[in-house]
Amino acid sequence: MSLTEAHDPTASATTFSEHPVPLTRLSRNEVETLCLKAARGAGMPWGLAEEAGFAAGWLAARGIDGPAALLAHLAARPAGGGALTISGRIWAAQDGRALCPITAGASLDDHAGLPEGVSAAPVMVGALRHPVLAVPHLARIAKAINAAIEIGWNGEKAYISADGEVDPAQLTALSKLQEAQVVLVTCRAEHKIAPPAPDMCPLSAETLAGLNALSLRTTVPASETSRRGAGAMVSDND
Amino acid sequence: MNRMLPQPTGDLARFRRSPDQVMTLARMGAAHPTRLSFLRQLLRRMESEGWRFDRPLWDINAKGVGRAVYRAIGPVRTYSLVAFAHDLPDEMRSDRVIATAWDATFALFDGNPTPEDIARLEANVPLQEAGRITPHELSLSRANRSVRLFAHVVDRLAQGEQPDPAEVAAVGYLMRTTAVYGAGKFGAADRSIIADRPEMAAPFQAEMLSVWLTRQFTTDLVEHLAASRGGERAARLDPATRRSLGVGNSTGLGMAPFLVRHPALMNNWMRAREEALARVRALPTADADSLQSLNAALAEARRNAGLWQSEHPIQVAKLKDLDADLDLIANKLTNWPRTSPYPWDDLWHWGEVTLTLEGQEALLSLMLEPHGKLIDDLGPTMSADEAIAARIDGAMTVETLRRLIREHFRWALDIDFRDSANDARFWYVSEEKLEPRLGERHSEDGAELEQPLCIARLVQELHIALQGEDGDTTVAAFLMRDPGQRYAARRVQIAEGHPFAEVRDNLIGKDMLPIDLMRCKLAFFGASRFDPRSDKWVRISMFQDMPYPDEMAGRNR
Repeated sequence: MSLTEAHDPTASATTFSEHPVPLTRLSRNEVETLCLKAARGAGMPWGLAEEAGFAAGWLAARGIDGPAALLAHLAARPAGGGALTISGRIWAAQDGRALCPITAGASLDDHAGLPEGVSAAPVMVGALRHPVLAVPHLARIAKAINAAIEIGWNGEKAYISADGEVDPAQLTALSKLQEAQVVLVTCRAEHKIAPPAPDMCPLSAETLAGLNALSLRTTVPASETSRRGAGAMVSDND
Repeated sequence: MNRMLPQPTGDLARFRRSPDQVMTLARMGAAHPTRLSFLRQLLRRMESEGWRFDRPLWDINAKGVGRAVYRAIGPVRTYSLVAFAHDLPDEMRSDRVIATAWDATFALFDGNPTPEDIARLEANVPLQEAGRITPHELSLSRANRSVRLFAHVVDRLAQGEQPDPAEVAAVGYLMRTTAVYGAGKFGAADRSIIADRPEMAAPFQAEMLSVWLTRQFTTDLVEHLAASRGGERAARLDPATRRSLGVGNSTGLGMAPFLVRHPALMNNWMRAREEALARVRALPTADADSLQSLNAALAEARRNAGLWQSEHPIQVAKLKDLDADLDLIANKLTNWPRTSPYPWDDLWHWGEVTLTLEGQEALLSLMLEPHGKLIDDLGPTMSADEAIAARIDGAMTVETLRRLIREHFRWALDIDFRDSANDARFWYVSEEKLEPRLGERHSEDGAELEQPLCIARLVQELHIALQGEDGDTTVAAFLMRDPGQRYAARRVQIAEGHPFAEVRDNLIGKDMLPIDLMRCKLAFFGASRFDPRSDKWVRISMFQDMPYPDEMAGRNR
């Protein structure tokens, strides 16, 4: 690469080179940004991709490998899929397949204070892919409506406190689910859960590579024109 | 002495500028630093709190290679700049992001680094983007020498002489940073980790501190090299010359989208500055002290304008405007204030009808300068607690969303995007550098991968999508059916309560100048001597004519 090209000194993005280490600790900002781009690269509209970034960052900040769950979800996400329909208390995908947890989580959040939402009455969400990815939005709902929310699946339960935290063991149990029907019920705020210690879940080399590959789909290959136009045309040795 | 502070009188609303007036690219591209700029806030705090500064490590050899640590010791916490100095051959020196080596690299460490911390940083910081740092670090940066001035200063000092003032003035800095990364980049601490510390409450305080300590490092380094070469004969920089040296900065298109990507933050910057101006305009008197301070600020502005150089035709024209406007302001001040209920407001109105945009925004900065006690409390309000996906108000009706569009995005609806001049460009991220670029929509490939930075067009599309909707429909229901509108709907909801959140201009127009966005952001940082090298790339200077750590009051107290 010649150094006499146009000058464009500022990078906007973290480039994750192939690290020889098996695990890399990203900041929350890095997780959110990378996951936003990956979700967009996988075909989500920008506004939902932002929600995906939020969800993955929220989970990673709680020691849960949300980025890996998101990658698994994005890798198998059907194109154009995820359209929701609400009938009575049942939320399900229009095409009858399992729901995108980002779409479902964001929409549940949008409906939080409305009659269709969880604050009005229990909601059953028909098969949900990677249910843990919907938890960050449910936590945001709990905070917003100042009520605890109970997530039930296969006879098991997880409890989101009214300040939007989940018991780590229950969150871990949720993170193991590939797909489940869940029932959401608001309940009395019984106990508080301490916010997490500020430490991020490190990412495996595979997760990082997978998310990077998806995020690269949002980029445009360079052309000679764009390279030329990117900056000043003079030497920096002055 | 506590004199009675004049207070604004009347309803401030009539003294406020509207977002339509403030948020145009042309006006943003005429922004000047003010006393609310982030580096000014940093220096004021450190001075008033009596911060101490020292250099516990200086391990640099005669070739200028080694490491150094500078500490800023505040009342509660200590921050340390860990610096690595390198021997960089000229042919490797580039300010571009493709560079892999620099004259110096830095990290701002949160606390007192141990030898193990320094060893860890030494293995990563010189690699910059290819390395990783940790939540113990608040920023990562690098700098290149101004080859000509650096060599000249070392030569002269080694011979026991001072550098040629003309050479110093022509460049203005010994090194320029080519990127200062903070807020979680490359593994550094997230903003949330430091946001509740008073000294980090204002935006970019860690980055500003890092650059300010870097400035000290650059002058220490030239004196060290001169002493290594000249021995007993070597001189140190005289204090006046040293003061006139800042830290340069090179910045490219990568910075331009920042303001668009952070609407709530930009709103808070703008709102604080505009509130400050309104408070000053609402003052019932202009007393002798403030008059004296205003005249001193004007004299400094004229001196600065005289030293401000650029060869770029756009900036040359702006500097001409500025010079002429500063003369007009000086002339005006000879018969101001007259008896009036609002003398500052009179001055402002005079400026609006008399001065170019350059002069008007310079006048704003001048008018704020005497009024620290009245406006400095606005500084910490300039931060924003931004989430990556601000919560949508799903209970809002479509009718309300439409009303918000009409109220806050009239300017956007008025742009005719069917005209090919109005959608001539597109913002994208380059695959090879992962950085923002601007493409020509009608002659280049890649527009299908456009970044969502032209808010005007996105909101227009939302407005059209809303047309067939029943007014009582909730935003939640609308977005469930049309998730593609979620991004624009969020922007519209943010605009309510954040009137300065949007650049009220076409960001993909044929004649759009990215440097206008950059100038606005850099002015808020406190950068001076804005010098475009093209319409997408600039050099600036920071901390020029400001004190050094060893000149701060409170030192050694």
